[in-house]
Amino acid sequence: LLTAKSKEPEKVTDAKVNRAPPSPHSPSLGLRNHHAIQEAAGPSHVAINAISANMDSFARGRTAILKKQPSHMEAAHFGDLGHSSVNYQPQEDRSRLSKTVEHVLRDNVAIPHYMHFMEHQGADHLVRFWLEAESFRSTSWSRVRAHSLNSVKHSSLAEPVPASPGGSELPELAQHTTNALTRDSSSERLAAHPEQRDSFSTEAGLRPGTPQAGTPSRQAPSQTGTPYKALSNSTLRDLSDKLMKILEKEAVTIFTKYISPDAVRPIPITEQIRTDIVAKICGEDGMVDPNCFVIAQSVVFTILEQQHFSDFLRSHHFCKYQIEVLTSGSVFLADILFCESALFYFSEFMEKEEAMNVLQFWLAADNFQNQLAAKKGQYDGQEAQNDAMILYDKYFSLQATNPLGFGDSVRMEIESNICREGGPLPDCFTTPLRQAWTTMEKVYMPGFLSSNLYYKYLSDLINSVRADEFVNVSSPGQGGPADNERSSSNASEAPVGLAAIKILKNFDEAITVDVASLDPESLYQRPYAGMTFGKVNEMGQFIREAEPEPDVKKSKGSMFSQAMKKWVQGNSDEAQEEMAWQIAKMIVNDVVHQSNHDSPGKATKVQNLAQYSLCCVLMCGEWLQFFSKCFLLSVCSYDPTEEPKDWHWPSQ
Amino acid sequence: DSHTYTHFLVIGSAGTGKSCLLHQFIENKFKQDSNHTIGVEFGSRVVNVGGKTVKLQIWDTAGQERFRSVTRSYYRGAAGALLVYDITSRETYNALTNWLTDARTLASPNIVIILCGNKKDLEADREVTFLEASRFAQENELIFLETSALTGENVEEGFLKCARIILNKIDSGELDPERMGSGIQYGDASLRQLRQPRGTTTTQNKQQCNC
Repeated sequence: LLTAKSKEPEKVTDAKVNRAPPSPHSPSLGLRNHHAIQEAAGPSHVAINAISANMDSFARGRTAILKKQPSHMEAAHFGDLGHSSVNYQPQEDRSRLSKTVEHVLRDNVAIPHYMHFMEHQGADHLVRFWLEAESFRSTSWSRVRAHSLNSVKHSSLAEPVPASPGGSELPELAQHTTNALTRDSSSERLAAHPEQRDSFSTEAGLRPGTPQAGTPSRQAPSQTGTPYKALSNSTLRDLSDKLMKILEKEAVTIFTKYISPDAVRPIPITEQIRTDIVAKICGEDGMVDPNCFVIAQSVVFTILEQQHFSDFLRSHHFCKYQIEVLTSGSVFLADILFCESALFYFSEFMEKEEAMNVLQFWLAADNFQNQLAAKKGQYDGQEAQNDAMILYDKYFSLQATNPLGFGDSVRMEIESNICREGGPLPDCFTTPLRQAWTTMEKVYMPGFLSSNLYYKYLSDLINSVRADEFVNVSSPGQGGPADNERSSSNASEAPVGLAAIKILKNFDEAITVDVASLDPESLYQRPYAGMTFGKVNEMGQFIREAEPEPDVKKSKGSMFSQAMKKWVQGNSDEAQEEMAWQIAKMIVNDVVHQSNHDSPGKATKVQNLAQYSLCCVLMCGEWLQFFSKCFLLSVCSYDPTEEPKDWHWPSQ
Repeated sequence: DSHTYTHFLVIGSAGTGKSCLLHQFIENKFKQDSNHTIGVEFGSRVVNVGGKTVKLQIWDTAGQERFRSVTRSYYRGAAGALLVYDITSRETYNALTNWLTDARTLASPNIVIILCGNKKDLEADREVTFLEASRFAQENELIFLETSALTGENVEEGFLKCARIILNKIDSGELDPERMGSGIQYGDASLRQLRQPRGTTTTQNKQQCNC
């Protein structure tokens, strides 16, 4: 028993998340029978039974002929209606793409996106509190019910029914059993969201005299009370104490975290509410009220709804959630028709398919039935009949302006529904609504999901996410340029523009490097070619292209040795001496010319040229010294570097 | 198919001529039957605004109070709205504030709203002066026109003016047509295909820069 009870909360949670459509007992059994028949029978039987089921539920009181004829015509016209007809409950369908706060807080797929958004808003503690308080409330009630069931068992075991006092004991035991069964029904009904109020009422009923708890979105004052009678058995009392201590511990944890004035991030509630919560947690009788946080939850819920939810619906977090739903591989017609942004694209698609009349009729009739149902029977029958006649004249009449091709049987059914005494009922158009729904679902929905318009719908969602994330990621310093970039082009092009700017910037830098890289080449360009220091012309004379080193001259010899050489050689070498002087002069002019030619160049070039020249001079010195020795060995009588001075000596 | 689609609303009290305005704009003639709108109805027309081809998808809503809660669900995602009152009915003019609040709250904050004083041809029965409505429009940042669905006066101008303002907002970057909820969608698929290769090039360039 304990194992079974421990699984119950999980089951309830899963059921809540799935939000299965409500299924009262008898219709549920009927549906199960129909499903069994469908498995055994062929398609035609499936269709007939499905139609019959719908007829039974939607067209009660119709004659046998009406029942039969619609079956035949619908089967012929729409083929196998399959499960869609059986499961069609338009008033319960909601789009997963269109959310209210309550829907988001109970949707495990949407909660992460909503939490991310609220973290950006700095208000995620409100959502966390609501979720934890809701979990506490549900868990507490489950435990209380489990404990009550245990109480019944212990009572039975501990006190067997004697024969003589049976009269007083038996009614009490029967009452406990009845309560247990009621609680089981209550547990089952937790599976359906629309039944939340009923289950809350049942839970509140556990404490006589306590007002309805209601949903967190409503103000529901509750009072401390004893949830069940205290039995005299000591074992039961111990269990009760343990349960209360567990609940109290959890309640105190939530209180300390979110409600206490010393909390890190307390939720914004008044002192009165805080005091009320303390009184409910630490009651005089030691009982903890599972609804102790309901008032605070309603305050937080209102804040979430009024201050943050509109922004969430316009944020990229909600777009991410929608993309997740639309790319899940299981998109339904309800997701499209009940979401206005998706409907925008779908209506465009239906117009291209020239089937706008079907969508128009479904929307108009659905709106008519919804506003009529919202009045819960308190409406002007004549006014409703006038509204219905407008739709009839437009879509059903033999002179209809927008005929949809409904059969005579459907038209007669509509006429009967409209002319009902007291005015039409909110399910007046359910039969043609179901047919229009099936047509859109079977004929047009597959095409839409693979159409360009659907692709654009997804692209717009993706672009919204990308644009928002781009804005969020950019640093404050880059905010200005980013905004300018987005203003000049579409959001999807903003990254391109920014990247282009970076590329251009890099390109400019590259150009600079390229310009710099050109300089070394110019350094190697010279008027003369190669690395030679001189050459020998056709007459056998050596022409220098570099300036000789002065130190080498001085080491040639003293004045005396030079005079001796002069007298030995005689005057026959005067011509050679003059030529040598001219050669030397040419060399000097050449060097001077180079220097003048290079000076107009860039400063960088001159600097590099100077360094290069220094290297050349050093190398020339070494070569010149080596060459001079060779020259002296081969031609002892010829020394052009010394002849000019000898030439001037005789004049002295 | 190379249109820009713009999502429009026509809102206002019952009997002010919303459906007749739409019919006159689309069919270029006065709508003879006087049935009121149940819920929402569609209409569309392709127009040329400043050299650009724009398809206006117009959602005509029921003005009866009993349909208000269901028609509100179609507000979100509209780029423009015609807010219609009847110049011969002071009551419909007094209700404008409520309609305006709904539009600004439920639709995009950037929605472009044009105030239309309809039934201009019934001058003898006028209950709201041009000047009074013009000042209301100025105070609430609306464009204002007086129209006649019967004669067609200013009907096309109203829609075109709204469309032109929307396109200007797109050009100035104030309105992002590719964001969800802008009420605008581009129909030119080739433009989208042209944009994707550029994105690829960007990626390659980034990689080259890293090298």
